[in-house]
Amino acid sequence: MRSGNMNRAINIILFSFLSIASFSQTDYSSQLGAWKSKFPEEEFVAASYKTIISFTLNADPKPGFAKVNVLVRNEITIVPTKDFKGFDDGLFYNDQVSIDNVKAVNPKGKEVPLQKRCGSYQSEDIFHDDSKLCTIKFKTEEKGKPFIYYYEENYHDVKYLTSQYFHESFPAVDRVVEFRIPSWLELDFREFNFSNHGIEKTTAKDGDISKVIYNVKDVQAYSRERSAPNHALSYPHVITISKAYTENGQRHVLFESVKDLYAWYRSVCDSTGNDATALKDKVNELTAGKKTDLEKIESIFYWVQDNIRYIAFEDGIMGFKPDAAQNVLKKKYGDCKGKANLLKEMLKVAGFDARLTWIGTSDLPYDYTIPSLAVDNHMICTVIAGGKRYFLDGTENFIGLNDYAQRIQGKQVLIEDGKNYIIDKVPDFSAERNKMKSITTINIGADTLKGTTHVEYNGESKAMLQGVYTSIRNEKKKDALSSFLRHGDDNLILTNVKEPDFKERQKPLQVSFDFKANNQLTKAGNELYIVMDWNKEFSSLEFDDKRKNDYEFSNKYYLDVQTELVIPEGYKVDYLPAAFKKSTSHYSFEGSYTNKGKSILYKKLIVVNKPVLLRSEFEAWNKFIKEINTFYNDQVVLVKNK
Amino acid sequence: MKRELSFGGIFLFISIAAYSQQPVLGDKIEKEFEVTAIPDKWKNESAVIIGQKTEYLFSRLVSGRKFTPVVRIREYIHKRIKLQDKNALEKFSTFYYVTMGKDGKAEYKVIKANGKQVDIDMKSAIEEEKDIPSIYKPIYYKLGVKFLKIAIPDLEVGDIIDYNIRSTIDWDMRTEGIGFTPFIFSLANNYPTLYQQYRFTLVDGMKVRFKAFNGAPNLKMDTKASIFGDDLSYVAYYLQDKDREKTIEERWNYELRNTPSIKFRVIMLADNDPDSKSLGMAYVDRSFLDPEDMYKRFAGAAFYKTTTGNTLVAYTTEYITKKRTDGVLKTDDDIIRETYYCLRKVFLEMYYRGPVHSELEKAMTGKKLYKKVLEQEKKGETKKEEREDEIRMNNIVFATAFRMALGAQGIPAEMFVYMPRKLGAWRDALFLEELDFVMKIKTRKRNYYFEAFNNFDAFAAPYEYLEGVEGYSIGYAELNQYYRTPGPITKFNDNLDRQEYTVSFPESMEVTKVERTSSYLGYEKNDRIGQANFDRDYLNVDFQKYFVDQQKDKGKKKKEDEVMEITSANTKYDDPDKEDRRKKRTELFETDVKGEFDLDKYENFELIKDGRYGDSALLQYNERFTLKKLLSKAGRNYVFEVGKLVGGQIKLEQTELTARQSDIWLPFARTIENNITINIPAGYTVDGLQDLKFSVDNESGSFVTDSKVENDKLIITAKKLYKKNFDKKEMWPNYVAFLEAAYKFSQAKIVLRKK
Repeated sequence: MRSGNMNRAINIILFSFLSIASFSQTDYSSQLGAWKSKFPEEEFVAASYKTIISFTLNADPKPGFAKVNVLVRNEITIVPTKDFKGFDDGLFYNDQVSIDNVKAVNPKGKEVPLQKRCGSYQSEDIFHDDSKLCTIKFKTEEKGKPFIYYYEENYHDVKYLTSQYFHESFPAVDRVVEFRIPSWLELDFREFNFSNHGIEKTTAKDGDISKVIYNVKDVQAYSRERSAPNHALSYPHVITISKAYTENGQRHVLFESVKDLYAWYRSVCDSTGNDATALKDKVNELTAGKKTDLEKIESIFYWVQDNIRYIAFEDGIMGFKPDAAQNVLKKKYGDCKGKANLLKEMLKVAGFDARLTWIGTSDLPYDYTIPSLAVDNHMICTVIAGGKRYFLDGTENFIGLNDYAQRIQGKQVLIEDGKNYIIDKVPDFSAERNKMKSITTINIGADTLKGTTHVEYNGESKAMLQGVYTSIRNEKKKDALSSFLRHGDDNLILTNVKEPDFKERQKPLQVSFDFKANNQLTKAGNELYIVMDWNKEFSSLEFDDKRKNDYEFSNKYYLDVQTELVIPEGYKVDYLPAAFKKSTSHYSFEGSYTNKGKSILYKKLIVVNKPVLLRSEFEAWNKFIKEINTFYNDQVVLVKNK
Repeated sequence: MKRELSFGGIFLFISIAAYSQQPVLGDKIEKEFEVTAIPDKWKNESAVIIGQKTEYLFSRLVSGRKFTPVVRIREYIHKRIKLQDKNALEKFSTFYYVTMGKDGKAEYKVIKANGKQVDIDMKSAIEEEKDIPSIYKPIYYKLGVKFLKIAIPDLEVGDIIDYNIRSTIDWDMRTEGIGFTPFIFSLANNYPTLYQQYRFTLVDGMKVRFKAFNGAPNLKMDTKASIFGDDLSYVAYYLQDKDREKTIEERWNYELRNTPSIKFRVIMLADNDPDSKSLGMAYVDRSFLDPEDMYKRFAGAAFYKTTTGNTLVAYTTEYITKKRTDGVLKTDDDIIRETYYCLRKVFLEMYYRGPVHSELEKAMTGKKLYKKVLEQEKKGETKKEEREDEIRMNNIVFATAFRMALGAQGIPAEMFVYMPRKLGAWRDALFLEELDFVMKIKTRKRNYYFEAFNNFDAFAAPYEYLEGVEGYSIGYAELNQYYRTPGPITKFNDNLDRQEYTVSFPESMEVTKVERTSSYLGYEKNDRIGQANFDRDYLNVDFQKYFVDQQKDKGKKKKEDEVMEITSANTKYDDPDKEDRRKKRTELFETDVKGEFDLDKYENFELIKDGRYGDSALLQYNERFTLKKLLSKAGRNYVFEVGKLVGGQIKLEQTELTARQSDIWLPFARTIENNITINIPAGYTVDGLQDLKFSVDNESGSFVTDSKVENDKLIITAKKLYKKNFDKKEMWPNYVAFLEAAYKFSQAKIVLRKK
């Protein structure tokens, strides 16, 4: 078996060189004009980009290698659209995936020197993991003359081969992803976001090998933009499910169903080495004097949120295995797994039925019908009390019991249950959970508007304010809060800001302040022109045709605004803007002005029900915003009584 | 056994100078580090530095009885910080540090609120793999550099963290030079500081160059900590500072000029002689920068001949000589100006049209040179930064070429070496590394200053970073010719930003139609000129005007040995990406307008004057676009936010309205003009003009507006002057007065009333 594999490896290398030689003389100058229209402003275009994924059964695997290994060969005919540019690429690897045989061949068929720099990759949220990045650079020649850029990814274990994307940092004219599946391997595929991308799937048989080939033409470069959803939600990709392999007539199950996935998770977590005795004192301290079960759970849950810092270690198996509960308690830091495990163990010490729970956040479009490591990216704790399941996310900062952050709402969870497992779902809340309600009274002064505002924050709007406020330096908190309440509006001067208890979890956050609003009152003749709404939420959120990605809102919105303008003595209403109402299933706006005799009541309700706006919905959204702006750009006019 | 012997042998051969007992770093911890109580005035701060100490020990390695050229430098950094809020807790949750040398290490402890001290096990620190270029890897390996990180356990608000880091490097004077890294910093830190100390202990044959500024404490000798031996001594110097407020965050503030700051550098008096101890005990050198040293360092920068430079000079000389013969160039001022532009034309031609198919040719045509220039400019931070489609020549090649080209015409050039303004006045200069230079030419009419040119610099146009500097001029007529002289200072008229608006409204009154002509002079051009000339049309102008007809000179021997064939009979620049560049230019300006206003549609950009020729050359362009939201409906009438057209104005924070802690260092004096003509729509009149009247004028600046209705037009003028580039902090109320007026105007609205 081993010698067979060796021959195969030689064939692969020969194939690579042969294929490179065959590409070497092509000149793409004549196609640059067409590419310029298809891929404007791109300095490099891949005339072809082929990824071939093949599998090896390893009879006697080395330490650190599993029985089934994967070789992913990438061969890219990269064509500069401008003279003498430097091509660069970033290749990620880790303990389970190595990058090998990186090379570039010039148009004359000669291998050119590469600049290769490799080192640890520091991602924003993770203190330490095994992610590494190699940056590859080489110089190209005249425009239109292709280089062959080639590299291999070696997966030491097939279970880490999870997803294959079609988009890269450069566009590709002809993109091929080809799986070469040997008869001893059972591999399944799930396709995501394929619609409207024109991806063709074909299958072929080549002796013992079944080929599954995905082909797509004219793939644009992956585009990074502000507020773009995670790429898994928008970009087409294939999730591979490695179900089983057969060796010497014996079938070995890998991840055939979620049961296998859970079994592997459990095997990893079983060796965590929790020591419940080390938790007892703290649990007793936290539950002392608490009468009900829910009070005890709350006490432990909130203590973990407040006192265990989030510091993530995702090094190798630590990406899946929680740190022991007593370690997290002692160190007072942990990642999602460490916090979930600590919560579970502390709650168990307190006498509750608590369990580890795996979940894919709203960044992932998957559920547990897919037995793959790609399906989840987060761990929480489920506690069962009074017959009800409560999902406790220790990484949140100010979340109350029975409340759930938007990123886990509506998502499937995999709850441990001994040898079995339970699939459940985190409740999904409507936009109203995030209600921000403001009540304002305005009086007209000599040259300005004056008044008081009372704002109530709930859900995500509350958590966001709490999170930002507590993370700001003490000496800057006051100014930062003022700036937040003013929406950054320099025309507002706030005084008498009554700060709430920023640690409040179960009740809404209430803030009130007095204000002076400069430059919102215009005097002309006998008339007063008054802007009653200077926040004008969403008025600038329009999308032009240059945007490549869908748009993800920070959260679902529910803005409820009531503003009352006191009509000064000697004045009466001359003009009130007409009411406006528009509603779709995803979002709605309702605004109106009412003459109440001695005052004018302005009401506004904005609801955004859906956190992601698709590109296909931009046109309707832009129209919606245009209509809102027509309403916003209409002012109240008061006139002196004659 | 063998191995131990061999190490022992090396140790015997090269060892640290051990004639006398050596001081030990970090052996004495001052009582100030034991403080746990924070003064009430800093209770609300995020964190407070209780103590910080940086200590260096410089000793010499010896071989036998002789000093080697290697200096062993030990570093000890000790910090103790009280964490007072969650921000500080998160910030210090993880500790990233670097050690150097085999004995490099860190110690870390946490002092809990109850006084309990917890030592952190640094063995759990993780060494990070850095993506160091392979060329530098041997150096990192040799120095034993380690990048480490550790998450600090059991850390809470109210804790005190206390850590120290020790490193050692062996500094080889033969390769690294005799001057250790210079340090220039303010004593104000990111957090208020109760106590800080900087300490150097130096073996014989060394000195510290040191200066304190703005009330910073002086360096003192610590006789108790010094070791005075018969053979060798170690002299300790230190400065300590107490009760220091954190860094001031104010606009227009040069920290080094406004806060107590220090500069120091250890100089090793190189001497490999066994009797080098005769160099004497270490001392503090408080002398000023010697102008002679400045001369020795900089004078040669205009004598650096390269093939690129020779080519520039040869072609320019040919062109200028011909023009002089033809009687076109009459005065020295004419010759200097045309020499500058001709040099630039040849340089640009080399860059944009040169044969670039090989590495060698790329180097010759400036591609490589450009990369070098960019690397140099990275150090310069804000100054000379790369702008859209800009290449700037290497300043040494420029200095040499310009001096030679003018010399060929009998016009002497000087070099002006100056102290950058943000670092201090000339008397504050301590290190040659602080200085920079430009070329200076004197005529009867005026002094001209020249930075190495880029594509766009207008002849003798002012350079922002030369504003108000002090320095020396170096002459080349004879040796050792240099004299003290101030740099140029521009006036508010020299730096102009003028916007002329014509505003109209369509019948639907849904948008605001704007035609705007923008004009810039002086520094105000710098941020826009590259973008405005993005189409590279100017290359055609240059290539045609400064054309040297080489055809008739074919076969002639060249004047210089190393000159490239660069210019050609083709006086046109055919840019294959011309249309793309024009499109991109429009997009760049459209993006700018989006940054200023709620843009509805950007319709047109037209360059009127490219601003590249002459110091009084305007950069001028015209744009047409429509804007949203400036016009609001109000019954039958409309409210128009006319003030917004003057662009975003500075809004002073509430705290700024009443107080200013530091002197005011503005980049330069300038004029900002807005002339707005509004076509009053048929059937409407304007009202609310009383809100458009402002007149604030004082010695620091002014903001004056006027408005009138003429026929069917409302004409508004607004002029804002920053009259100076510096003011004492006591003058701040002047700034508040005109800045607040300008902001208020920017918010002003008028009413278009239906007749």
